[in-house]
Amino acid sequence: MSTHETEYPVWRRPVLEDESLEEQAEHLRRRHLLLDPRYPWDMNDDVLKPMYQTSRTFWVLFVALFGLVMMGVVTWGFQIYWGLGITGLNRPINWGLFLVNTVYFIGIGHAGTFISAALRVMKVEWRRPISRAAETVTLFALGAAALSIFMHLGRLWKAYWMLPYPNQRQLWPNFHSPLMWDFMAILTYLTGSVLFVYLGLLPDLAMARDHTRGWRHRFYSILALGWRGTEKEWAHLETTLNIFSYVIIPVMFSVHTIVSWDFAMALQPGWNSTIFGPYFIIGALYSGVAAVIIVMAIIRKGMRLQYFLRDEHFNGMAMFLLLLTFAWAYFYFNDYIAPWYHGEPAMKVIFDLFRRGWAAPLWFLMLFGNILLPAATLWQRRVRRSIPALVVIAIFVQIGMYLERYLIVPVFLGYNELPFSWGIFVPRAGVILTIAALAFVFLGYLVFSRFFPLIPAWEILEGQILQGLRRIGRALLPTRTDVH
Amino acid sequence: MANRSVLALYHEATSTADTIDRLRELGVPDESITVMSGIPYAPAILGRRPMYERLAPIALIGAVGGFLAALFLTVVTPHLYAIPVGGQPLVPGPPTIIIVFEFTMLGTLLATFGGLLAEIAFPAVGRHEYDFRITEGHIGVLAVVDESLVEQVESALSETGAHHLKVADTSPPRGPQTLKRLAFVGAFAAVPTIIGLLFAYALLVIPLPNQMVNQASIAYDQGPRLAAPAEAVPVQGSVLVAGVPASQPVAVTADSLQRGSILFTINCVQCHGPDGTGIGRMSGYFVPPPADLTSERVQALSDQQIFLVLTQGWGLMPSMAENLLPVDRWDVVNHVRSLQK
Amino acid sequence: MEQPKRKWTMVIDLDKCTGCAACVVACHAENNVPIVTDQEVARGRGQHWIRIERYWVGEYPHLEARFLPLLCQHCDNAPCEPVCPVYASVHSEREGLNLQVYNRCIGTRYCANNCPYKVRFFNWYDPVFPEPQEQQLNPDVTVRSAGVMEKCTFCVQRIRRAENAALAQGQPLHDGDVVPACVQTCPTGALVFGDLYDHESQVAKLLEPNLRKFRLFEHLGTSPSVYYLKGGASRVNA
Repeated sequence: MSTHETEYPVWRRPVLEDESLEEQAEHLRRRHLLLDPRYPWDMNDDVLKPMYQTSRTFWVLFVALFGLVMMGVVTWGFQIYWGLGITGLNRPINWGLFLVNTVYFIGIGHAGTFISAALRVMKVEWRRPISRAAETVTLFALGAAALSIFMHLGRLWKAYWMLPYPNQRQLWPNFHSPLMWDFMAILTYLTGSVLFVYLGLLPDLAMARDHTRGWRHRFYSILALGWRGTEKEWAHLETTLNIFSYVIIPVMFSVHTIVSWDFAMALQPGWNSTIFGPYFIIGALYSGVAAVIIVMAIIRKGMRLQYFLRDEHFNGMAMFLLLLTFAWAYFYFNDYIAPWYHGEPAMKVIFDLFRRGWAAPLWFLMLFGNILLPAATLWQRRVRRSIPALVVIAIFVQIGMYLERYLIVPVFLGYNELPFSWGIFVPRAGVILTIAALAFVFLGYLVFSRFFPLIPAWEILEGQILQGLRRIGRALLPTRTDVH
Repeated sequence: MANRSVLALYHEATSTADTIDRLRELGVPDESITVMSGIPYAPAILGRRPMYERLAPIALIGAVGGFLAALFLTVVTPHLYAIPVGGQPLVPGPPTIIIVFEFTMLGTLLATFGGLLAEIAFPAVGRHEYDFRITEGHIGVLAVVDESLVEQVESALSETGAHHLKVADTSPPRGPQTLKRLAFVGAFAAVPTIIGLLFAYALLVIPLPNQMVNQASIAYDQGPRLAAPAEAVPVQGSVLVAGVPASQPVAVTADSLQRGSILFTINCVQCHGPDGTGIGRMSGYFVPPPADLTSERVQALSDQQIFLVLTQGWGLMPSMAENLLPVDRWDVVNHVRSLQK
Repeated sequence: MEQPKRKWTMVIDLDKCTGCAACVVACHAENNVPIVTDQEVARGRGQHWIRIERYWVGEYPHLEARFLPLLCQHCDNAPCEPVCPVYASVHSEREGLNLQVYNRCIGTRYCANNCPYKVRFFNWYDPVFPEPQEQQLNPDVTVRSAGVMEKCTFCVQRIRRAENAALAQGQPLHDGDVVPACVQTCPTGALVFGDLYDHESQVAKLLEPNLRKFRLFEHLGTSPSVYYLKGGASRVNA
C-alpha cells in the first residue's frame, strides 16, 4: 500500500493488484467498521433515516411504554396524596425500592460516561459508534434516578430546600450530609453529561440540519447554533471535549462513590463498610456495560444499524464485561469476608439469611447472574460473537446487580443490633413506580432516537479517514493513526 | 473596494492543502481563509498554523470560581448561621473536601462550555457562507478576497480540483453580533434565575399542601373546646366520669329481666336471698349482714350507684366484676329494681 | 437574658420497670402521637416515641422477661444529625437535646436509618384522630403531617414552659420543675428526669456513685443522655 493514501477520498477504495491482498482487505473491511468506509452521504442517510421511520413496532412500543409511565404518574400522585405508607416501608426499613432504583439507575449511567470519556482518553477506537448511544442511556438513566429520589422524599414539594440559595428563612443546606454530597455530585454529573452529549452532537446536528427540511430543519438549525465546521470551531470543540473527558472521569468516579457513602456513612450493620466506594463504582460500570450491550442490540436490530454496530463492538463490550465480572467478584468477596470473619452478630444473622433463609433465592440468583454465568460463558469467543447470547447474559447481569442493591438496602436494613426492631419489607406501590421508571428510560430513549442521530457520523468518518491498511510482508494489517 | 467570498469544495485533504498554498501565493492573508469540514483536520494536515486557544485558562478560571463557591458554601455559610450537628465541627474536613471537589469540577465544566460558546461566537446569529455538502465529507475552502482578485482566485481554485465553486457578496454582519449573542445566552440563563429568586424570596408563592400550618389540635385562644369533666382522669376503680359509669344502662325489657333473674339466682341469692330481702344461706355468717335490697335505703339509690356497688364491691361484699360483664350487671340492676316494686 | 447551660438527662432504673407501658400511653397523650391501626402495626409501623422492648430470656418453663424502655437517647454525638440534608435534625448545645424540626423535614429518612436505637418514626400517612379525640390533642405540640420524621423530644414543650415560667418569676429552675409525661406517669418511679449539671438534682445524685449505670451501645460513640441502671431480671412465668 502506498503511504500517500490521502490523495483520493477514503471512500474510493483502490483495487489492489495482488489478489491475496485484496482478499485480506475484503476480510478486514467486513470485520471492522473503521476499515469499511462508505460514501458519507450514504452513511448520513443511514443515520438519519431511522429518525423518520416510525413503524408499527415503534408505535406499539410507544403506546405501551407511555401507558406504563402514566401508570407510574398516577401511582405517584396517589403516593403524594395519601403518603408514603402505600410503599410498604416501615420502621426499621425506611429505605426501599426507591433507593434501590436510584443506585441502580445512577450505576447504569456510568457506562455511558466511561465509553464516551474514558475510552476516548484511552484512544480505544471501537468506542466510536457506541459512544452516543451509551451517553443517551446515561442521560435517561440519570433522569430516572432523579425521579426515583424525588419519589422517595416524604415531602417532595419542599425538595428545593436542598438547593443552596439565600432565603428569608436564613437557612442553608447541611453539607455534613452525604445526601447533600449526592445532590451536588449528581448535579455536576448530570450537567456534565448533558453538555458532553450536546458537544458531541453539535457536528451531527449540523449534518442533520443540512439534510432535512421543514420543522426538523428549523429544529436542528437552532440546536446546531450555526455550526459550520471551521478550523476554529473544530479546534475549540476538540479542546473542550478533551477537557470534558478528563474532568468527567473523576466526576464519574466521585458520583458513585458518594452514592455509596449514603450507605457507608451510616451506623447500620452491613452498610458501614469501607470498601463500598470502589465496590459501587465497579458495580455501576458492570451494570452499565450490560445495559449498553442490551441497548446496542436493540438499536442495531430496530434501527437497522448493522453497518455501524458490528461484532467487534459487541466483542469489545463483552471483554469489558468479563473483566468487570472478575473485578466485581473481587470486591464482593472483600465486602463479604470481613464481617463474616469477625462474626458481627447482626451480620451473622444476615449471612445466615442469605445462605439458608428467605433471602437465599435472591442471593444465589445474584451470584449466578453476576459471577457464574458471565465467567462461565464470556471467555468463549463464540459467545461474544453471538448477540442474543450476550443480551441474555447482560439481562442476567442486570437482574443480579438489581438484586445486589435490593439485598443491600431493604434486606440489610431489616436487621440491626436491636432484635426487637427487626423487620421485613414487602414491596407494594414501589413495584409499579420501578416499572414506570424503567419504562421512562426506554420511552425517553425511543423518543430521543427519533429526534437526534444516535450514531456519531462525524466520529466514524474521522476514524475511517485516520485508520488504514498497511502491508507488512505478505499480510495486510490495520493501522491506527494518532493525529492529535 | 468590496469584498467577495469564494467558496470551493474539495474531496480530500491533499488538494485542500494545495489550494491553501496557491491562495497564499496569490497574497490572500491566512486570516481570510477559512477551512470548513465535516471532521476535524489537524492544522498540520492542511499546512496551517495551529491556533491559539484560550480554553485552558478559561477552564482554570472556572475551576477557581467553583472552588471559591464551594468554600463559601462550606466555610462561610455555617459561620453565618451556626447550627451544630452530631458532635461534628462546623466546618468538617472530609465533607468540605468532597463539596470543594464537586463544585470545582462543575465550575470547570460550565466555564469550558461557556468559553467554547464565547470563543467560537456561538450561537452564530446572521447569515454565514456555507454549503451543505460539507457534512457529506467535502472540505470547503472559503476565501474572502478583494473584488479585483476574484478571477485569479477562481481559476487557481479550479486548477487544484475544486468542484462546486461559488462566489458571493460578503454580507456585512447585521447589527451588533456580540450584543445579540449575549442577549440570547443571557436570557437563557437569567430568566430561570429570576424566576427562582422570585420563589426564593416568597414574592411568588405556590399554594402547596402545607398541612402543618392548619393544626387539628385546638389552641388556647381557639374555641370551642369541650370543658374537661370534673373527674377526667380516673384515680381508682372502674372508669367513672363525673359520677357516671362508662357503660350504658340496659333498657328494662322482658329479656333483660329474665337474664337478670337468672344471674341474680346464680350470683346473689346465697347472700341476699331469693327475693333480695337479705336472708340467704350465707347471710348469717356476715356482720353486718347482707343488705335488704327491698329496703328504702337501697330503693333510694340510683341505678348507677347499684351498678357501682356490683362493680366495686361494698364493705364485705366482693366485686362482681369478675363474674359479670357490665351488660350483665345492668341486667341484674334491672332485676333488683323489679324486686323492689 | 442568657439561659444557663443544662444537660437534660434521664435515668431509667430497670430494676423498677415492670413493663406496664403507662409511659407509652402518657407520651401518646402528651405529644399527639397518632395511634395506628393494628394492620399498620403488623406491617411494622407501630409508632411509640417511647416503647418497652421486651426480650424473652431462657427456655420454658424458666422463662424471664426483660423490659427495656427505649426512647430517643438525645445523644451528644447524635448520628441522626449530620445526615439530614436540610438541618431538620439539629443539636441544642445549651440543653443537650436533639431537636427535630418538623416543618423543615423533607422526609429523606436518613436519620431514621442512622439511629442505632431505632427510635425515630416516620409519618407514613396523615394521622387520623376520630372525633372527639382531636379535642384531646395537646396544643403545645405540633400535629405532624404525613412525610415528616418525629421522635421523643424529652417533652421539650414542658421544658420550655417551665423555663419561661421560671424566667418570668425571676427564679432559677429547680429540679422537679420539668417532668416529661412518661416520667410523670411511671407508677414505680423507674424514670427519673433532670439536669445533670445541677448537682442537687435527683439524676445527678442517682448517677454519681452508681455501679449499676450503663448506656446503650456505648461502643458506637453516640454518647447518649439516657442512663440505664442495671436491674435484676423481671421474672414473668409464662
